[in-house]
Amino acid sequence: MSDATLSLKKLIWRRFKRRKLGFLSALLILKLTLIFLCADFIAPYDHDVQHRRAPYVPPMWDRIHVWDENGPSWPFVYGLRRVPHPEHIGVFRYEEDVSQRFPLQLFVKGEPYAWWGLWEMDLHLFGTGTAANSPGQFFLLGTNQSGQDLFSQILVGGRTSLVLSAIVILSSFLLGVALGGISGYWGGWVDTALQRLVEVTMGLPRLALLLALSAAIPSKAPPMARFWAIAGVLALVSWAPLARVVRGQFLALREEDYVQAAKAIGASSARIIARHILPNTTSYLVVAATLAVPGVLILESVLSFLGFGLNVPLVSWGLLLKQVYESFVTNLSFYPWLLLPGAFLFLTVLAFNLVGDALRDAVDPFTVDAT
Amino acid sequence: MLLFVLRRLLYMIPMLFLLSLLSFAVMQLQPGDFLSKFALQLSQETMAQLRERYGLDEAVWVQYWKWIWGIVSRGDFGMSFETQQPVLAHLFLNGDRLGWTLLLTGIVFLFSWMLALPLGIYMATMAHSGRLWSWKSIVSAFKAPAARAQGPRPARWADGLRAIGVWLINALAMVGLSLPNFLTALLILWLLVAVFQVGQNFGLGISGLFDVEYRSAPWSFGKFLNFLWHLWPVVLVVGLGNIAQLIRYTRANVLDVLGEPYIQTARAKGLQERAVIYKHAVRNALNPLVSLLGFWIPLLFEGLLVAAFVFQLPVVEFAYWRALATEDQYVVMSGLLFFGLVLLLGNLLSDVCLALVNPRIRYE
Repeated sequence: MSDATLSLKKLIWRRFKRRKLGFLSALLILKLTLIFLCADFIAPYDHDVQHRRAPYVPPMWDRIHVWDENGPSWPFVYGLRRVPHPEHIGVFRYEEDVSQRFPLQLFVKGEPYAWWGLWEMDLHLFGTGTAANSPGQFFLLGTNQSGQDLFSQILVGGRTSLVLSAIVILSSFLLGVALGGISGYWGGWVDTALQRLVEVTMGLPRLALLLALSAAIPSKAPPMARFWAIAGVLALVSWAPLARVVRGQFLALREEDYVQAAKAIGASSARIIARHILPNTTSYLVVAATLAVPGVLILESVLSFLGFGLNVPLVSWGLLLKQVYESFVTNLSFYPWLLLPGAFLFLTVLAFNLVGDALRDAVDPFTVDAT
Repeated sequence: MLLFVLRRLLYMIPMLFLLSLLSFAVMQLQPGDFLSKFALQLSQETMAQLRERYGLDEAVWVQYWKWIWGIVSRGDFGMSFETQQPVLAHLFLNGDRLGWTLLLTGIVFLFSWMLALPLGIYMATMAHSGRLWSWKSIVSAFKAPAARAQGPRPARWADGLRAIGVWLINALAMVGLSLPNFLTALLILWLLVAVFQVGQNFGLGISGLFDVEYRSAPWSFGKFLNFLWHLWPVVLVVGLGNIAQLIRYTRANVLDVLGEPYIQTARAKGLQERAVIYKHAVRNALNPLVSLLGFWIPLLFEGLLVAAFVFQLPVVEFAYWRALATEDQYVVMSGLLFFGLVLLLGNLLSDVCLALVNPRIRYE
């Protein structure tokens, strides 16, 4: 089929698919989002429950056994036995207690949770199905100093970060599209005034202001109130560049023939904006949104890392990394797996960057394909 | 030009006024009284004195007025309740914080531009050459001669190396873009602690800009080496993201210029490729980069804030973070004002530099 017969959407899709890395990253993001949305179910433990008898358990992905003395067997783990480190006082190691064997089970009953805060459930995708104080536990990515399962924490933290970014991007987009649209469509003194506002906002020291604003949120506020406040604060500092993009698009499209034609037959401004201009800016808006996600993810985790972001019992990747930093000498010397949330953060940001790049190239009609 | 600078400086006054209002408002949002948090450290008399001086018992607008009037009339930005010093001394002088901030920012800035500009230019020329620097070209370059002697020009070893270089720089740019600077800092800490076995003693040897024995010693060669040893983590933490972005910007801009007709003319009249790139392409591609000078300042600030937090550096950013953590109000408000001022000055500087680099730009 020749390019001329394809719709713009199909053209963009075709060009996007051609960028292998970007396409793979989009799939990765999709998968991660699905996993994070079902975080409570996929996580084998409640992320907040402390397993007092199992602090600093190393990742157990290499302790899954599929072979015993009788040949192949259903995957199982041995019981954990804590032994002191031969050289360092206060540091413990975990050995496999071969006398006890715990098969890994699918759809197992475990610690109860409320799925999305609504449905009480205790079904988990996998686990050993033993009580919290039993030696037979399966900590896929290990535990931290209070025996909380790192894998569950990473999943729940990823959900927090992604939901927060989605809220921030959505609200700053509403603000940016509304103000940018008004500014670009009406022009004149409205445009001048709004552009001054955008300039002032962009001229503010972003992180310094963000820190001051988050520090102003009372520390005794309930965690969810804090979550919403942080989201609001992040939206407040990130709407301005978007408004600028939207304004540019509106300014250009305002002069197009079809907009003039709509005006000539007496369409209202609201109709022209909603039916004629906005649909034509969607591709740019999607690109801008994708490229804005990494910034928001990073800002949120930096805030949490510096101690002004989310608080326990909420978890986020930045918060988990802050806990690593708090006693970094022992943590990094003996328990390096605690850095794993960082790997997840890096991969997610990388994926969003790659998708954003690929989308931008696919949407831009003036780039020449390399193939 | 002078008039332009003056006018811009005048424009800054309303901006700074707005910023001062904003930072005051942010601080008013905090629950409770400024001083009550420091009730244990301060005596009754000083408390009363401070209340009187900054009008803490009076209406909000009186407080604001007293603060602003103190700044305008006496250069008094308030007092740090933590150290009971004037704010300016607290923010800028303790251990020469302002000096270190400027020095470190300058070093990182120079380093990242000196590294990223050549890399970006190289990437642009490679992209412009019209050949695909994919893994296929690497494979075909290292294949046996008979197998690769197809196509317009046989791929050579040099092409394979070039393709690897392009791939590496691309990877560096993408990783640098996606690695949050606090994560870089944590990875460097891991490298220092777990691999180099430094800082086992409560992080000594990592934190600060010098080891303990050098801290109050006069400058010597040993102290300088020690400084370098403490410098590279900071440079990496602050610089990596900058370098990645700068490579991408430079590449895009140089690539744009390389498509211009005057580049073709320069080639057609027989100029050497080196002259075409450096005299014609790069000089014209620099303009948009210079106009972004002001844009790097927030990035440098954010990076240095994180580095200062992780490595406990004696810089202004650390004082700001500490003031936020201890709720030292006047320091926070003045810090916000200061960072806003730096941002405004940076934008002005980039406009001035733009006029210097590009004679076509006149500010009349």
